[in-house]
Amino acid sequence: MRVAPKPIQTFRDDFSYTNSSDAIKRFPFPFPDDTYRYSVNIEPHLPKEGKGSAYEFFYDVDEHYLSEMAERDLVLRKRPSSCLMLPHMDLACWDLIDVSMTHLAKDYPEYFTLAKNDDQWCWENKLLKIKDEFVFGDSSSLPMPPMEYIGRQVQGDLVLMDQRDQNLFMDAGILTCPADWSLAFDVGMSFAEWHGPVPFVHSEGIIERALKFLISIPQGQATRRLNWTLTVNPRMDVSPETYPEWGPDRLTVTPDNIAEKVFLRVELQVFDRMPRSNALMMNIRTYLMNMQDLVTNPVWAKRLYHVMKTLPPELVEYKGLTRYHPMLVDWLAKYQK
Amino acid sequence: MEADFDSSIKSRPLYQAISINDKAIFSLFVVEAGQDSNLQALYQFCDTQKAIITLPLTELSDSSLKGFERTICPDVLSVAFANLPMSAQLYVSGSEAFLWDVHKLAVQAGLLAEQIRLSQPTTPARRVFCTHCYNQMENVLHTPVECSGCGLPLLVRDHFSRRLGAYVGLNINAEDKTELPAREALK
Repeated sequence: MRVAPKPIQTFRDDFSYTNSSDAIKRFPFPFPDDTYRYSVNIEPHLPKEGKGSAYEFFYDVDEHYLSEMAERDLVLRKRPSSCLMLPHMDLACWDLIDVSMTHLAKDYPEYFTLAKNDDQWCWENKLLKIKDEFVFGDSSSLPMPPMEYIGRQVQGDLVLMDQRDQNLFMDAGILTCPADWSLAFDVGMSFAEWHGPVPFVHSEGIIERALKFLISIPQGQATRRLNWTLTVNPRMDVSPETYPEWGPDRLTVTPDNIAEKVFLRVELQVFDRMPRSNALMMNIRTYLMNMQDLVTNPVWAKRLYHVMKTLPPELVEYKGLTRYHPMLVDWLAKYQK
Repeated sequence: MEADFDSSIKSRPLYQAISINDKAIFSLFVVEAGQDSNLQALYQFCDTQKAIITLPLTELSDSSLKGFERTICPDVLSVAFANLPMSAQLYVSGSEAFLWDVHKLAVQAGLLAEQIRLSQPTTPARRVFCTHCYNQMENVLHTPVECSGCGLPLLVRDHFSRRLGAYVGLNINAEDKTELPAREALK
């Protein structure tokens, strides 16, 4: 079932973030098999798993909405470079506003309303108590740049890729919960460039296939995939910028606290073609769930053991799991049958 | 003819031996001052109309800037780019940071990627972008290197931004301050 946004919890300091039992049930568990390998695991972004599932609507607004928007505000204040756009991306940002507001108002009429009168738009977000009138396409009519305006109201990071020369360029984004990559460094890169440090995907041809697929996504046919890593503590902002703050957490994992401290971090990535600019948008929606909550589902517990046990060393290293991976496999071993 | 990718880290450019495009009507050579370059020799043998400009890296970039767009175009380059005929070819030689600063300015001036040929960098020295404080350091020869902005020891990775002309630097001992690997020369 869909759970209404609950009061603000934290993704830092005292880490008050929790998942309700309903949130556990609807968690997008990312492993279809007992071994994990890269694949272009893309499917149409259509409803599945029924009412209230994480896949029901274009954007999944769940119980963590207020918490994630409060966290985004904290990061943007500390690190304004978490929201960047190259100058030619203005139209794509307005596309993103159009697509986002249209979906939100249609899927969650109790929270969001959008009224259009030609270019005069009126947007209301009851969850954040925002009500603004603006001229569509006129960035000066918003209280902040369009990417930041919409990014502060949508869960998950947002990236806009410009499409040219049969390639995708990451030319705009708002990124406050990245799994260890820097928008400030990567902005402007081509698809293969920003995936440069990822192991396997280049030699196995995955990048080329993914790029071919993504550049051919037409309007109205959004697609999705899941990606994952592990994070110590429910920390959303694991950016390279703040690595000196969260890096030491990896040494705090012990057999006694591993169940509460290690979180499976799942990204529900949605790709959609923007109508005016032809840019490709990507929403990277992050879900966090600790081992204790995950193993309440016996199927997930068993699968997670086998996935972790068989994870290639290169991926253990790349995902930053080296320091506690053996401990996690030992802890999960009791669920192997 | 533009730089290709490295096969291990895809963002690191690979450079090919530079040759003259004799179909071009005009050839412009831009050479970093103080660097050994083979472009002077190519310039001598080039039969098209031609010009050569020698500049120090410091004229292209202001290392006091921590921003994201740090390249400035010296008058001599903006005049030269503005006056190029349609079928001009640009050849650039110097440190890797110099190559990509000139590349960016040329693209901004309207040149197409195929009109730009970048020579093998003349030095292994790198520009390094600190992911923590966004400071950019020129002429880095070793990893780890202490950031001149925030003082953290940085691992210099092979992940390269053509927009910044820089490699990324990441705090090497963020997890455990007592770990500090020995310094190695960059290749």
